[in-house]
Amino acid sequence: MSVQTRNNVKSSGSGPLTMVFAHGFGCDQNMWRWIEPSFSSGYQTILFDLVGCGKSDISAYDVDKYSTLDGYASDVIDVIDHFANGPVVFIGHSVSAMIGAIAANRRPGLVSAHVMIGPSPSYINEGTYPGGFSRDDIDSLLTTLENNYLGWSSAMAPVIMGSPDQPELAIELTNSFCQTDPEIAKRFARVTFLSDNREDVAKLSAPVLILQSTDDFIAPVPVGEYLAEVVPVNRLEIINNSGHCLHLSQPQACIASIQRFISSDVDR
Amino acid sequence: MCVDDFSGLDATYDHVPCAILVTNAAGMILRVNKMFCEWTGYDAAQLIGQRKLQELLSVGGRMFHQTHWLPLLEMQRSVSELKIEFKRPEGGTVAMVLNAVRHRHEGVDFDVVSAFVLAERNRFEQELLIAKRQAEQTLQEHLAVQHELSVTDTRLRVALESAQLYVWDLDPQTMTPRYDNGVALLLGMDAPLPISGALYANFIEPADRDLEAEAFSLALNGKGAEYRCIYRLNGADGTQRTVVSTGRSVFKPDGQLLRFVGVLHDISEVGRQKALAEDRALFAEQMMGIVSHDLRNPLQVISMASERLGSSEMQTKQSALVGHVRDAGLRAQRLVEDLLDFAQARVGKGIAVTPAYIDLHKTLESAVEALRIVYPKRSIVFEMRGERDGYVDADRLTQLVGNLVSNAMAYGAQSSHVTVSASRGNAGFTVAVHNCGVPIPSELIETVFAPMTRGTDAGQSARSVGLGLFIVSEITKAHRGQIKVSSSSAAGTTFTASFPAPS
Repeated sequence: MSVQTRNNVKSSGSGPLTMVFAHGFGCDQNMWRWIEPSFSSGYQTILFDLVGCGKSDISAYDVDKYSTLDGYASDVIDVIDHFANGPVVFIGHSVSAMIGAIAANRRPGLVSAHVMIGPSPSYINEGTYPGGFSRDDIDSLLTTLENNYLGWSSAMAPVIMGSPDQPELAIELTNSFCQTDPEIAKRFARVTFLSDNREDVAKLSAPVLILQSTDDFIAPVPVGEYLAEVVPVNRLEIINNSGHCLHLSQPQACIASIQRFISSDVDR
Repeated sequence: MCVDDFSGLDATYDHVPCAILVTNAAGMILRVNKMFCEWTGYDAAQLIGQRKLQELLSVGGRMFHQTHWLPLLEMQRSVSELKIEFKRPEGGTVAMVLNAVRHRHEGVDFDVVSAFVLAERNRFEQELLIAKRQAEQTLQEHLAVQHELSVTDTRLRVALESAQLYVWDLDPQTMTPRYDNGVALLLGMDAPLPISGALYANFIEPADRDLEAEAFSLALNGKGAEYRCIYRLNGADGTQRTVVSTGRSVFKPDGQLLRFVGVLHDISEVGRQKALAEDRALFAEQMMGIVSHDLRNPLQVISMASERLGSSEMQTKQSALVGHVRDAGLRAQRLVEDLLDFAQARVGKGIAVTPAYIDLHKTLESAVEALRIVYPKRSIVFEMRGERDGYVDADRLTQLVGNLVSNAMAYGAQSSHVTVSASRGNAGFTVAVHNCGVPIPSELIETVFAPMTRGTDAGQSARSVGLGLFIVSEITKAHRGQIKVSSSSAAGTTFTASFPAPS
């Protein structure tokens, strides 16, 4: 099976840099639709779906391989190897920021710069580390996910209830967006919320831009501050926003930050 | 923002059987109807302008809100049928299913949320979930068992194949045999095929059919008797195969047949190999017998002729030459005798003995006397203790003593004498032959009775081909006796043959 089919890879544009966008837990590459077009005019942009999400090839889902973020990192390496033409800026949302870190550490030189949107290296509080959640909280999330399974397919591929002011949203989009096999979603949630990548982020050598929301339930400000302390080369930007999906709710602020970062911190 | 635009909603929707909320894009509650307050246990005043919708959710619910609800609402401006749990102010949770639509009003986004309580349905769903989990677990267990079964089955098939075993059983309804497809191979067909009972029966050699039928009906009526029958199958490929068919029936307590399972084993190859080996052994035995027997006659002629010549007048030199011819003839005769015995012991059914009650003393004495003639230059001492009678094959005993003495002559010190001593007790009798001289090397002691074994310092003319001691051991074995050897430079070498008394 080709990497293209497996990860539903979409490459566009060209330029001195290759920007690889990796979506987080919950949805798929459509998450980037407010951001990616701003870059495809000046750079090569690569969008893809993690296996088990969006329009990736579900038959490629291997329970063992994807029982750790390492399996997803291998796929990222494949995607970059097959499609990237220039130095790579890896833009990862949430868990994908960590997948990018693992991939970069496994292959020095793979990633020239990281943009982490709402990243968290570990969700569970431990000692002085402020992950934000207890183990019970994470179990509660897993239960919530499980309880939604009965109506999962309809809930995750909702009918369009009408949004007259945004007619450009296609039916095709709503049908695939956030549509996930319940069993895979449950496993992915477990991997995402139980993994601890604090050692991985401390080993990064490429410059990192951390985009942190002022109010993010999933990745609270202390987590962003922790990253700013341990990541060797980084720039922390706190954006006034409520919610975990900065790139959806504050796309313009994200674009501006990324452009600033590229022009000042990224070698071409 | 203009909250008053929704003021009419309160009046209209306070009593509809559906919870309705209006929030801004950040989730802050701007309006809420009575139904929502009733179901969740909050006062409207606690909520409006005070709490964000997501703050009312359980931790898991909040994470779900962040990772699914908000992205969906951002991207497609509506979500439907999300099931989510609200925390109640007095503790506990209430599950609701929600639909939400994002409206843009004068450049500002509002979310309108409708929700229904799911108390009953929730219980039902919980039950469904539990049942689903149980089903999954059962499925997993079932799959594990199935996997194990398939592994066992494969292993069994490999074992059956490599042992050339074929399984068959009996249909308890129709009482007709059912065969493994592999049985087709046994019937000389090219590939495994379904074989009916009637078809199979056609292949049984007609001469064996009655035998088979009798064994089979005995097993079925004989309540648990094992079925075992050897018969031939005339294969479609023109080859006749011999099979062992075995089986066992299992009966219900009421005596009805529960099942009958059988195994067919192709023993044609085993039988063929055995027959071939027997053929070869027989041929070798006959060959040796014929050659040895045919050699005896010319040797006898040589012996007799030299005997006659020896008795006539002759010059000293001539008579010495005739003596050599006679000795050589005698030795060749002994070799031929040994060879015949070896052939019998090795490829035949063992050396034949016919024991009887004899006068041991007399037999041994005359044997020693004859040996003194063979070895005129050497001294042979004979001594015997105990009763004189013994139960033994006299000729074989003479042969045994002869072989042991000639061995002592060949390997013992030329200057010292050889002693033959016999001792008769209650348990039987022993005959020992002793010589002085260089002992048998310890590494040879183990194999000294094996055929074709010879001592180290070859070069003496008295050597045989190494069958002498083998025949000695075969003779004692045939008498259910034992042969032992002890050898040291101080005590010399002693071979002791013990013969048990007849039981």
